[in-house]
Amino acid sequence: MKEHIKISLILSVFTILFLALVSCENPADPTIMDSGDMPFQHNPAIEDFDEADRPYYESKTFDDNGTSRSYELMRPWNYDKDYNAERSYPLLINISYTGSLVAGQT
Amino acid sequence: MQDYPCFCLTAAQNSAWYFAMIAELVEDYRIDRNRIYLAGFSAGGSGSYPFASNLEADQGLIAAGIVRCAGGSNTELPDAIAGKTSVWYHVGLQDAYDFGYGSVLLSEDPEDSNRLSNQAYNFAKGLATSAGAFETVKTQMVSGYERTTTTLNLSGVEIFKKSHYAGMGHTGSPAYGDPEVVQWLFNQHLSNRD
Repeated sequence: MKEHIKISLILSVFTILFLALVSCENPADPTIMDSGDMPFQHNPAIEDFDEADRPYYESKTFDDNGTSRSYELMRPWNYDKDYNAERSYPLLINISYTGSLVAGQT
Repeated sequence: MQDYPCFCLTAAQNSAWYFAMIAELVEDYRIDRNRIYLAGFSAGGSGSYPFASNLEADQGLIAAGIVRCAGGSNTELPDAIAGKTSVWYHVGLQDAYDFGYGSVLLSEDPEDSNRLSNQAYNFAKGLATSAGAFETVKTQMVSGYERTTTTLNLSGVEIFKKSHYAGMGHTGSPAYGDPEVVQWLFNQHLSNRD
């Protein structure tokens, strides 16, 4: 029984040490996070994604010379985190029927 | 959303206010103007070329990548855009969808979408900016369909791809559900074509 407790304690210490080391990595390291002038890279695993921060489409309006226009925008997950403050992101535009050539080609 | 974090805009409209709004977004948010991507299925795919043209003409913004699942569309991009923008065209060879808009019937012949994709590909291939490009062909199974992809490669960049799906009808799901397509799109960057 004592041996079992001893092994459990050792494992716990190693786990705590491992987590401490991981948390010491600098998530703001521009060589990892900022792909502004480089081909896109997969998001580094060091970034955490909390479900509470999951992005969603926000209803927004644009002032078109006095006419209010509606549109929806979803920002990147963790966009507002401090460690992403210098990071730029792609913009993906989904063209639906209303973007078709018949609906306003010039 | 985690592997490819980005801003997403829906229900794009091919109108002046929409392009002005995009320009405002690029100013207000940390949007990389070198990585503006377009994706459109059906009429949206057909509208991607005029959308890209108007985006450039209105606001000077050029798309880095376009994914199209289109059937009734023009097949040429202005030189300023074609020389910078990579395109991946997806076509179901059994797509007999009525590509008309409202009461206007444009086509219900599956061969038309195939023909349009070939025309778009040949247009890209014939551009001066494509000089020196070479072609590769790859066949693979994607979502149960045999997909044959012809790719125009230039200086290590896939500048134009057309994929024909044998037996597939009017659906964009196999293309949009393919991780390779998503990865290809998010790897596009205007500097790739300098």
